[in-house]
Amino acid sequence: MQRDVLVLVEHWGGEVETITYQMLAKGRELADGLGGQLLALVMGDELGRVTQTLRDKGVDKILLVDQPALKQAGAGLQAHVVAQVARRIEPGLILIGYSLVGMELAPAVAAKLGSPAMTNCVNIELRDGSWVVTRPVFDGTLHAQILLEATGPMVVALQKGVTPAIQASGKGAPVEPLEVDLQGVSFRSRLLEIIEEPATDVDITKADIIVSVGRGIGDKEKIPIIQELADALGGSHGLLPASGRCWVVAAGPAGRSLGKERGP
Amino acid sequence: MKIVVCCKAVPGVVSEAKIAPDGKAVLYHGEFLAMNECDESALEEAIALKRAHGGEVTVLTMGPITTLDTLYMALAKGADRAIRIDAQTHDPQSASAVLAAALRKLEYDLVLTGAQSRDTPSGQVGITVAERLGIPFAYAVVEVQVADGNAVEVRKEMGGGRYARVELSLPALLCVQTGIQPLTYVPPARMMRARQQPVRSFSLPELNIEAEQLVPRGYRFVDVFQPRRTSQVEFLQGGPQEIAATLLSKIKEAL
Repeated sequence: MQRDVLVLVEHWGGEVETITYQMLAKGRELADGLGGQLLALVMGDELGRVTQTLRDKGVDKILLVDQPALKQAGAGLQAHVVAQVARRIEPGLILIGYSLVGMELAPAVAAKLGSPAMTNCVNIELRDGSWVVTRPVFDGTLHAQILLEATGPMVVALQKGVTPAIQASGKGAPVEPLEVDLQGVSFRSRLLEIIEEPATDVDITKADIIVSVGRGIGDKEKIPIIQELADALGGSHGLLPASGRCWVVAAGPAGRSLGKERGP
Repeated sequence: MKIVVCCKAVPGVVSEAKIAPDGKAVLYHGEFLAMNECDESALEEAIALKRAHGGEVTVLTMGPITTLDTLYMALAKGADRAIRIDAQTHDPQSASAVLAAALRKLEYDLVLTGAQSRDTPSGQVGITVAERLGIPFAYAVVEVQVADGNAVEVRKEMGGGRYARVELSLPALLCVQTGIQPLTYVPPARMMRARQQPVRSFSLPELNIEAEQLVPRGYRFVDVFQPRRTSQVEFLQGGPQEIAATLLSKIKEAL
């Protein structure tokens, strides 16, 4: 069994996403368990800042695919890059965050490598020298544990928040730039634009208190009642610096569909 | 525009789940089969596209005879024809191989699937089908615009409140998010009429697929259980002094 763990780095506007730090923490644990290396794959265009941020995050090596052609890459092309890199370095495991980006990439990478993929996992652990994943089935009413037996690189996508983020190690990881051959790859899907569209001017992930409205409210016309409730409690639609608390009325759908999740 | 929608019938209630002796499947008793929610959204979107741009909608499912009702509902909603592949697997790799083989026998400009099924929520089958067919794909699609006869432009969720606009040349496969179209109600009379319509059936030999190809490779199930609750509540008993002392020792323990 190949022992190296390759983590796919998800980044936006030069910032590394939290889920990636969580994958790195898990990857570190799994690589150490088998005496392998933890490798981080960064791909895209103009990646200086991302690479710099990752250098002290406990990674043994950063693999960098920095090509202008990747700026408008659709998921198919990105998966092609990951698969090419995986064939070259032959990791035992490719760890991908099960974000909306990972949801699209993981099956495509696995398909290109001819490997099975385990997605939507809540855990992966080493048991008697093999990787065992846990994932929900039947609407999450049950969890299944699955032993990975494939010999090639396994693709595993883990949910966000199943492990704490990796801590800075203080060591600077070497960066290895890689050239990926994109000749002959057809660009049949093309990213035109990324739209940042918060549903309200309030970021629910940062609010202390959220007034949430469910379907029981009936219709949209009744939203002002809830707004009034928030107002009566001294809040307003937005931040309330005076009390240091925040009353929010989210008129649009919140939670998973917007990709923002909040615990109580 | 020729659209094929892949719909899955999923159980509403599952009991007696256990691992098959060879570890290759989770066996269970399922009741209340219904069309998977985001597959139904995909079907509604296909019907909306047909109304706007013309064409035809074929609905495709894989499963035993009990899944026929799902197809009748699709016909009642406005699909033009229905096909059932007489096979069953819960493995995303083999399911995608079967669906891709069936799609190769059909004409299509667009293949729509739901983003994820309720029973085996892996979200892999649509994308793996696209990879097998060598066509472009997009996941978590919330809006579809037909640019011209050769391409579609979609809006898809990227998480964190972000969306992406992506252009895909046709034929293409889109994994559709729930809510892309409101779900329509099917009156009983229309459902009864739909039951009179023929449903084409594909067998595995017709698709040149051997039964053993449906056995998952590269992994095996070792356990299936109810998720352990991570939050545990303990009520401390006794007078205020006693509770305070216990609480302090528990905090020290945790630290």
